[in-house]
Order: sequence, then structure tokens, then C-alpha cells
Amino acid sequence: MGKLKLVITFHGGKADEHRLSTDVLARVFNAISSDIENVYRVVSHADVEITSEDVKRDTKLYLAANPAGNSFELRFCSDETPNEWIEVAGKRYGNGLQLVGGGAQDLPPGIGKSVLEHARQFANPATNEYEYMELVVEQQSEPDIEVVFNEKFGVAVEQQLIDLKVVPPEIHGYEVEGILHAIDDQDYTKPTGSVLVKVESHDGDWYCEINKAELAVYNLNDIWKKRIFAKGFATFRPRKRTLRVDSFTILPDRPTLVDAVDKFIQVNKEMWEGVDPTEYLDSIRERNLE
Amino acid sequence: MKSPIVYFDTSVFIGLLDNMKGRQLAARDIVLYESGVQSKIHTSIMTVNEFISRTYDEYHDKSNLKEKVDEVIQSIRDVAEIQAFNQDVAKEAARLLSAWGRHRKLERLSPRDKKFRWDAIHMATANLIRADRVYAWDGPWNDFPKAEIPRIGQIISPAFAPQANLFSSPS
Repeated sequence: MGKLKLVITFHGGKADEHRLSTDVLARVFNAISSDIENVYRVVSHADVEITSEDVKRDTKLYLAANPAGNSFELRFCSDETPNEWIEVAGKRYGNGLQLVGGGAQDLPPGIGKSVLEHARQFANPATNEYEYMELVVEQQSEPDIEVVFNEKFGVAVEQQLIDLKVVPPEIHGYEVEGILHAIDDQDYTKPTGSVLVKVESHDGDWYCEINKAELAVYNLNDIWKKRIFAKGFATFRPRKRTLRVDSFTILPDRPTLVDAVDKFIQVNKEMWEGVDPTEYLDSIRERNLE
Repeated sequence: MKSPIVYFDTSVFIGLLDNMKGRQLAARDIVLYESGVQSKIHTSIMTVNEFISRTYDEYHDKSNLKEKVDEVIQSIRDVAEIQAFNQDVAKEAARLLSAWGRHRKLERLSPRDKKFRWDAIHMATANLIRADRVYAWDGPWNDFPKAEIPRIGQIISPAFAPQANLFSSPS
């Protein structure tokens, strides 16, 4: 038995009689195999030693047991593998689907459109072969992860798929200023690539993707909860606004308003000596528009 | 309690430096008042654009031009959060330009009343961020139909602190 163990149980309908049509089974088997392979690719992409052959070999699933109990239960398992990625992929798959079923705002890592479409199929069987389906990712040292593909789950998945269909507005050169609150580095072993930074701005959160190389000059503890000004390509997803950062600056702590105004006057006073600022401002507006 | 959202038009920043029309004291009173009620100050990127025009005029042939421009921008950024000119602002400013044309019963909406194009950007930004108070010394803030900018709580133009500030320095 390999490191990943999945248990799929069909409930209701013909499953009560310990039967299920082969085409339904084949569809579920193919879909889960394909999903696990896709998630494996995502979670292992930082591991330079993993080849395409490894992905194919490690994610191959086997039917491991007979139908049993008051339902139709099947056990899948992977082969023995030289690394942990298949186990990580199974865990991410199970956890990700749990989050989706719970109405998560953001799609968990590895859970994309194809996984969602498969999940929708699982939750909405076209025939009465079964009423709902249950998937358990068995884990050795942690509690098993259980996902129930039922009607409620189907509604949550449908909403995620609707959100995916919306083409969000995008804009280049967008600027975000706010307090840096969280850093999520999913590939911490990889020195290149990017990290996701959550920035709390006056009108809500932004998720900023910053190149690791640019962040490397900072001690992360020093910039935690600091004011950041970032510029880049913004995508206004309905529930998750993201900024692919071209440049950013860690700003000094904001002074008090009174101190800031004193500094402002000090910095600008000399330039405006002897100038009527109001007339000057009017002249700029006229001049620039002619 | 939620901090009041306050919008400074470029003219407020100008007012802080104004030694000709004597606006500096009133501008400082506003700052003291808003600081006292822990307001969050916002302005538009247009303020930066308008303001640093002077910096370029004065420093265009100096070796420290870039540093000076950055210093001026930072001095504005320390006072206020700078709102970008984005698609929402562009749309809102265009809507306000159109409304201004109808309000003034202009025969043609184009060419626009030139100065209002700038004011429309400030006004659109203040409306979009739902400013509780807007301070300004110039522009058509008081003439503009309020129904078109319903998210702005109060427009104070010409600018003065909402109540006498006991801590302000005597003139």
C-alpha cells in the first residue's frame, strides 16, 4: 500500500444493493485520478527532481478492495513512492474540496476549474445510481479528511464555477497602499518565484504577488505590519482582488497628522516662496488643458 | 468608533503653504481638528500631479530633481492616503462632467468647462471613497448638484475647521 489512501463510498440508490454501473465508476475513477495528478503537479512543481514520468507513476491509483457494508465502498491507493508528494497532493485535494464545500471565498491551491467540474458531477449524479458520494482521504498521523459530495456541496461548487466565469476587470499600473498583514509562501523551498502578500488597504484586502528576489533584501520580521506601497497589474476578482507587483516600497511609519503637515510645509516652503499658490494652481489647470 | 474619512482637495495642501491669501492658519486649524477626531485623510493622485509641477519648475535643472520630487510626494503621502486614478474614478469623473454640463445648461457638453475636468476627478474620488468631509478652497464644489455626489457627507468650501479649535495658535 502506498502513502495515499482514498476511500470512496456511494450511498443510496443502487449503491444500497452494492451495485454501481461501470460507466459511473469509470467516470469517477478517471476524474479522481486526473484531479490527483493535477494537484500533484501543482504542489510538487518546486521539486526540481520530479519529472513527468514521476508524476504519472506516483499518481497512478489502484482499486484496492471489494464493495462492502450498507453501501458501495471502494478503496483506492497509490503505489510506494520515493517522496511524499502524492500524500501532500491527496491532503490538498481533500482539504481543498472541504473548503470549497464550506463556501470558501478563495479557491484553495490546486483546486481549479476541472476539479470543480468533476466535483459538480460527483455531487449531481446524472442517474439514480447513487444519492451522494463520500470521499475519505486517510492519513497516517492526522485525522482523516472527509468530503461529502451532496446537494449542498453541489450548490457551493456551482457558485465557485459561476465566479470563475466572470471576467474580472484588469488594469495596469494600479497602486495599492496599506498595511502588510500576511505572507504566504507556498513554495518556501524555492528561492525564485513569488510570494503572496496580503495588504489591508482603506477599502479592503489586496493579495499582492511579489517576486521573492525583491523581498529578499528585507527581513520579513521587519516589514510585518508595515505600510507598503505597491504598483502593478491589478485584477478585480469579485471576492479576491490581486495585484501582480511590478515595484513596491516599504514606507516609513506614518507620522502623526500634525507632524506630517509640519514636514510637508518644511519640504515645500522654499519652492513656493513669493508665489501665490492659488494663482499657480489655476495656471496649471488652464495650461495643461490647452 | 470608525475614523471619519476626510478628503483634501489640492487647494488644502496649497493652503498649508499659502502666505499670500493667509490660508495657512485656517488649514492648520483643519489639520488640528481632524487630527483630534482621528480622521483618515485622503487625496487624489491628481494632487500629487498638480503639486509636483512646481517642483519640476523649480528643480528641472538641478541634479537632485528626482530626490526632491520623491521627497515632495512622500510628504503628501505622509499626510494623506493617495487614491489612484483608476477605472472607477475615470467613469465617475466622466459621469460628473456630463452632469456638470447639464447642470450649467451648456449647449454642448464638449469642449468641457476646462477647469472642471480636474475638479471632477477630485470630486469623483471623494464620492467613491464616501468622504465624510471634503475640504477645498477653489473649484465649483458648492455649485455642483449635491444629488450627483450623495456619498459625500459634507463639503466645506472655503475650507475651515468645523468648530473652533481651542488648541490652535493665536494669529
